[in-house]
Amino acid sequence: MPLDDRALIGQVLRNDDRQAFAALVRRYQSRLRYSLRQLTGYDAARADDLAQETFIKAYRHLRQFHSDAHFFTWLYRIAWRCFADDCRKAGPERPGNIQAVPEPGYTTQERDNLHMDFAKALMNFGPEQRMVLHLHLQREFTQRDIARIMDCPLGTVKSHIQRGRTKLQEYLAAWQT
Amino acid sequence: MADIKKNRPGPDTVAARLRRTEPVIADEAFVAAVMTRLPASRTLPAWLKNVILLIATALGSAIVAWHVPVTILPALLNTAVADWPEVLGSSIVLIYAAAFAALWTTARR
Repeated sequence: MPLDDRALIGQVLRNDDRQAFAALVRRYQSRLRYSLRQLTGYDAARADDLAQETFIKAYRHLRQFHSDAHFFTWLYRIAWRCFADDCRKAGPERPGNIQAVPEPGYTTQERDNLHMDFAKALMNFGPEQRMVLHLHLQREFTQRDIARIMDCPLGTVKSHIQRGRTKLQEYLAAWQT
Repeated sequence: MADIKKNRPGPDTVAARLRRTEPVIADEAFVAAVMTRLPASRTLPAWLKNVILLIATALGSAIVAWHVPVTILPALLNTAVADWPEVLGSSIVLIYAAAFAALWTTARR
């Protein structure tokens, strides 16, 4: 039976057990890498670099993790800081263009297009609003959790969601069939 | 027009599709890449800890022996036991407490 997050974290902290940390990385890598792809306009290389940085920072600061929180939520706090720093360094980004024309009853190819198109649609927003929309719509975090993850006021999260939904509806009009 | 806009499914519909069809990204070399980039282990092996402790104790003893001539030590100890037994007792307790605190702090790091 696989160990839960707390047990694995305990092993890393007590014995510097690298295998336990590898198990944590294996458990969350897909979800985190996917999230970062969504935030970077589906740029797999950049998303993977950010995901690596996130896991390394998580390892370095594992003692600061409070066991009453979820490891995944804590991981997102780190990922958000890495992503925001990266955006500051990279400068202004280009807004995304949606290319796919969906048909009803989409195929695998179209499914992939949908994920890419959503990521591109998100590129029309600033990094903060992009993160809020991703966490709210795709990860289904509560607004309070999002405010905690991003260390920003609850009112900012609410307004980002409200404004973002209207804009997204326009960007994704072709998919909303 | 307003009705069409009102009835059109919102981003929630698309988001629900996205959640249902989220691809699983194969870990391929990703986990290995993260593991090779982790900082070197900060935990010292037990044998190395013992060697460091032994060297530190030997060094400390050598410094004390160098400054305090060994010949006067028994006389010094006799005087201390006879004249200030409380001071000697308290000093021993303090030394043990300091050593314990140092060990505890090291273990927590």
